[in-house]
Amino acid sequence: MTELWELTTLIRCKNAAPFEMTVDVIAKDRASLQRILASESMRPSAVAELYGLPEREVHFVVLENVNAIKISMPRPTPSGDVLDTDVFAGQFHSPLVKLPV
Amino acid sequence: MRCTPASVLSHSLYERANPHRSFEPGGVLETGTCEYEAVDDRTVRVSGGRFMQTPYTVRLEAAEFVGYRSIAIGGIRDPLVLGQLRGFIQGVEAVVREKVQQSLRLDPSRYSMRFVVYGENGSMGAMESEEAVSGHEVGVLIDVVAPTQELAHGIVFLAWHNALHYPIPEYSGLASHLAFPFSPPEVNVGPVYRFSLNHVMQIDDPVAAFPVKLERV
Repeated sequence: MTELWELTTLIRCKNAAPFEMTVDVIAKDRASLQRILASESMRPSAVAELYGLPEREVHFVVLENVNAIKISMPRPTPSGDVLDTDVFAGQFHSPLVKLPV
Repeated sequence: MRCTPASVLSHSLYERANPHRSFEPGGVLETGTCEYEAVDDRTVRVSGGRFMQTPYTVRLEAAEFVGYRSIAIGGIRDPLVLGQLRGFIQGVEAVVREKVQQSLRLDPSRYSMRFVVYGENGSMGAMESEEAVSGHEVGVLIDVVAPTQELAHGIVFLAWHNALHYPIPEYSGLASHLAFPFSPPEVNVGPVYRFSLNHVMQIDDPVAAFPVKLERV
């Protein structure tokens, strides 16, 4: 079984303004992108479930010309709030890294 | 790094939820239909973007003061404690809240106290999908935010002290459950602010709301 990271050059998460975060999955090439998009584990419903969010709050954008998938979702708390665990949301891509694809 | 169609397009991903739309004060720049064309090996021509005019708006953002933070950091390595970690921490929290009420006369609603457990869900909190602690140790951050620095310090002191000696059924006598890397274990971190305003304001004159006064000194 292939894991997601093996088909990518970069998987990262960053804040997108204070209330949202955004995961960029950059595939190695077009074939890798297609394979990721076709996999069960990277369907929007599966990713939403992995993060414990309703599917309508998880937004997918595919940028074919850079072989990228962007997944944006609300942060658990606003950035820097008293109970925040990750002010840059720099580790929230982690559950995706070893997903079987 | 060279400026290529891929590098220019990649930059539109960075730290933004939607790469196809940029919200500006007087309109929205739509870039989903853009063409990216290499003029030479370090120049890119971008064409086909559309600017959709909207009423002129500015975004207002503000932060508010919430209190003062004090923290303590320690490690837990004892497998008996690790085996009952959630219940252990909930028990410590309950005892500390009661003692804070008694000795500092502070209601739980007036301060924030949390145990952030690295090795369990320290990075992702409630969004963590792995269920149990799988390693042989965890790092614990005790994080308190209270109305004054003295109160925050007093609460985090009670918290680490009670966590250190909290009884577990397997041991009798005064146990010692935490590895503190320095002494005293608690540190005052200072004032804490949080996001408090995120508002779009319609204005007629883009500069009237932001007066500039120049003084020669």
